[in-house]
Amino acid sequence: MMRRALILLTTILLSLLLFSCELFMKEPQAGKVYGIFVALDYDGLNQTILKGTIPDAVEQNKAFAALADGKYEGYLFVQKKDGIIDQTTINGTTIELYPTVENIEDAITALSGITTSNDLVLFTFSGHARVGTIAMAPMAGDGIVEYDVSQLLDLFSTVKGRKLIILDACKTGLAVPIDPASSSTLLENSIATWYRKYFDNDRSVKGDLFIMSSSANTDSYETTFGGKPHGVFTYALLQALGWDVDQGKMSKATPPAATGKRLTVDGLFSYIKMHQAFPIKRTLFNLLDEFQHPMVNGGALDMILFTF
Amino acid sequence: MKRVACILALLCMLTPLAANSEGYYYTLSLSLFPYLSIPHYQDDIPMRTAAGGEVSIGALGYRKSRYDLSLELRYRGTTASISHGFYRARGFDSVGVDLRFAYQLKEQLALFTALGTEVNYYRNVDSVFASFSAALGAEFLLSYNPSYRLSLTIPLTIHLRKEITAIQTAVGLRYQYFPKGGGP
Repeated sequence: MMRRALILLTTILLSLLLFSCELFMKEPQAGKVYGIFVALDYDGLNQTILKGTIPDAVEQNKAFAALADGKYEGYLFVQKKDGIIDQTTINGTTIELYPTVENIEDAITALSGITTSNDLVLFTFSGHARVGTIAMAPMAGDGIVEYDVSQLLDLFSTVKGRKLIILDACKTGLAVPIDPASSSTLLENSIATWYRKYFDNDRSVKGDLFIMSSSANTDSYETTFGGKPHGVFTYALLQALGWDVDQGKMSKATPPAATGKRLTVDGLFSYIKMHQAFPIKRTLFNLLDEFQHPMVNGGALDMILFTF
Repeated sequence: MKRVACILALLCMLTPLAANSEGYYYTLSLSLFPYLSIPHYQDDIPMRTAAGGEVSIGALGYRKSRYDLSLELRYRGTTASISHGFYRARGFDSVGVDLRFAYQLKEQLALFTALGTEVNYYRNVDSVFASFSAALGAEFLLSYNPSYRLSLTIPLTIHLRKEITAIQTAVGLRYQYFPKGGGP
């Protein structure tokens, strides 16, 4: 009796493994990679000048282009020293490559007409930010235009494909939408909140838009690496991608942040936390006054960016 | 969070000191399981597959006649799921507490049920969520003497997360130590 029951239960247990959907269902093929890289040094815009932002955007564009292996379109919206504004064409729309809200919105709208659900769309921003907004250039004159990140995310929701938004600017973690089912330990560190969230009525949807921020709720810093200025977050990100800033090429065939031949958002995030030059916040013992702790959106899923 | 953990740890430390009844016991359980998560949201596939392991310790166990009741602290580690398409389910660590009840049907066979709650931490992404668990299973006595019992356990656990319901079918070992020699 006991032996029969044991055999029956073991059989049930093993047969459950055969239900593994991943082994039987066809996987979609990766499509093209599109990147919009936005950076401002704020020269002439009456703001503190940032030296690392434009090199950040330039190097990220090169690194992602190398990873995409030919299936790539990258658009660099940066302030140029010579003041010349280049133009590009996306889906028949001519767009000025200058980091204003209007140009960025035109580029995203144009992209929404050409991307497919198998594509990967990247957006990076390096510059100044305030709570919930990023500082863009005005169409004319000096000063800045504060662009609401939620407006940017709404616009990206019209673009097909996986989207990864990378924000290297102060306090941009506060612009990351709150997940209905999980809580950030950096911003909602209370067990009562975690249980309250379990019972509230907000429901999760499968998101194809991931946001990675350089700093949850503190300032973001830049420094020099081998004489080259970069944001500390973006420099670690470039390393995670396998990009050698000094050599200007990929240092390895597979990025160091990849695991099991897959590069995921969580893999990048975890690598950055381990290798960032500036200290991160320790969850239990926060002995440091100054830190810069990156943040990524919560939820049950991790997004795969590249497969090798 | 820290306060709750301290109270639970203190309870587990202090209660067995007063365990002068022969039915009180300590327990250590280990198990391995496949973890099948069924999302409540629309996903590319109906279910994602991961695996995990669980360790439970209990110092609040009492056994009398055919009945067995215990309160246990549990750690559960679940891996990220097998990658499929452009996504995979995140792996997480859980710390929780279970109330477990078992009824011995025969000398070597018992049925048990457990209800628990836990706090789960997505590895590396600084994100947590609360959840509940319910388990039902069979326990086969492998070896015993008056001071201990060693059993093979086969629980079916439902992990009730807000956005996912997951099924765990584990195989495990459960060791019960009776300090006063209250075994069978």
